[in-house]
Amino acid sequence: MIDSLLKKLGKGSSHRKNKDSDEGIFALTSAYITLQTKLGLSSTNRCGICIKNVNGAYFSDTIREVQEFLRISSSEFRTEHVLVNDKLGYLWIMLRGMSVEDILVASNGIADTIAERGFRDQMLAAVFEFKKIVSPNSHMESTRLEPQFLVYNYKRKRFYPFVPLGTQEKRRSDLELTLMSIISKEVPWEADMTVWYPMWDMPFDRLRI
Amino acid sequence: MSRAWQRRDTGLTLRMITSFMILTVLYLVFLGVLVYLGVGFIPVTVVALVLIISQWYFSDKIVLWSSGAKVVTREQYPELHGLVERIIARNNLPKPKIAVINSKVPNAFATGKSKRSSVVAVTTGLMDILNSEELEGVIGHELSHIMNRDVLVITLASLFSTVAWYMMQFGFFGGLYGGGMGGYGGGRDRGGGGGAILIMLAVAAITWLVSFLVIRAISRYREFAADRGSAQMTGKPVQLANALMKISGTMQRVPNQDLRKVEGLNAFFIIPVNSGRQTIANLFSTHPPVQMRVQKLLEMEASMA
Repeated sequence: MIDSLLKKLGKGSSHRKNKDSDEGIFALTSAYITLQTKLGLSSTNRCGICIKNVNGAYFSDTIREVQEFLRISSSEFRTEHVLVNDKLGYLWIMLRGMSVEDILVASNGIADTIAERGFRDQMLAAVFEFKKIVSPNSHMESTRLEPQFLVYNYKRKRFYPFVPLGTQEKRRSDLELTLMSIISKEVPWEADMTVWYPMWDMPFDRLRI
Repeated sequence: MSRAWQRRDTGLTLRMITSFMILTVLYLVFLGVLVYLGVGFIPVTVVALVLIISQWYFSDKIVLWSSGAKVVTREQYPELHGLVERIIARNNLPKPKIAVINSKVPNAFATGKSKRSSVVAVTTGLMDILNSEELEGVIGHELSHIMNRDVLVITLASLFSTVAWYMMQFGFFGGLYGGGMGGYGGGRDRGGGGGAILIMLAVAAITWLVSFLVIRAISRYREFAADRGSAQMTGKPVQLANALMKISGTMQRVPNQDLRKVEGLNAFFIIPVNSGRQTIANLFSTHPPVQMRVQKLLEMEASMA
């Protein structure tokens, strides 16, 4: 018992600097409320975790373990998931939950499982989806229904915005800057815009809305 | 006086600064000659004031001429006129003249002695790269310069520097003659005078440098003020931030290539932000770094949300 207590205390100080820790991602649990109140932007409670595929039985085992974890925990975290292989050789674990907390806890479980098996470097990004709340009476806001994303880069452990414009591989930089203006102080933020890499064609449509 | 709009565009700014520098040097030489000829303190002061006031009076003409800006009518640029009219109608401002500079470099400036006789000029390059909301932000910034009477402020600030310079010169000749009449004997007289010249030159140089830096500092502060004014006029500071990033080329550095395609390219090493390098350049700059302005604009955006 003392051991576990010490461990927990230690987490507060020295372990915080642990370079494999993704606890910064949990800042989203308060930031999403800010997005909602200030921008009217709600979490769709959908997220995609993008992992670089590896050929080999050990990696396949790991993914099976992840699926098992998600299956067992789905009742507890109220999540559902879909696995999608994209054209660029990446595996997407698409999650949908009842709340931001649910998908964060689930995604953290996934990341832990993968890291334990030694595949942490294969983790590329976790992408969280948001949409504007529109009152049913307004007609002009239809373009605002486009999803806006926050990308968490597992290598840099920071968030950045990504708002695609339609399907033509263009970005809404004004909306991205607006996102930045609202939450860059609340979550670990990627100040270097040169690494705000987009992710086109994410398989969010494979999940229910 | 120019309100050239951003730091990176050296061409337009240089042209206008050069024009005004040549004028200033001409004044100084002229005043120096007057002083040298033994014209008294008060007449020289009057002449200096007349010169400075006329420079201020003709400043818009000089700026338009030196930048190559042409005043355009509503028929020539209906959209630009419409955009300016929308902002001034919302904020109850007098309409400025609108000028266009045929240049690919995105830039804008405002000039004019009074709120009524002012000119807002934009380059064709600016209209090419900005959408109408961003352009509105930029024009709001220029209109704020007019509303804040920044041309007058900067002219007055320069006036102090000119007057300081002129008094240095006056004191220099006065001091030289005074010293010459003092107790020194013939041969040493010249040596003492030479020392005085050196000291006077040094003091004059320092005066000029300090006032130069002060003018830059005031000017930088007025840029922030104009950004804030634009944010209030348009209610969309993020659009001006967006425009600033496009103009400065920062936006072009936001990648369009997919994260999955660059994953192997060592793109993710955390490079320490290079902060020390810009400070010296900042001292001499009339505009604060774009990053700082964008940051302030985004703070305004956040507080408006």
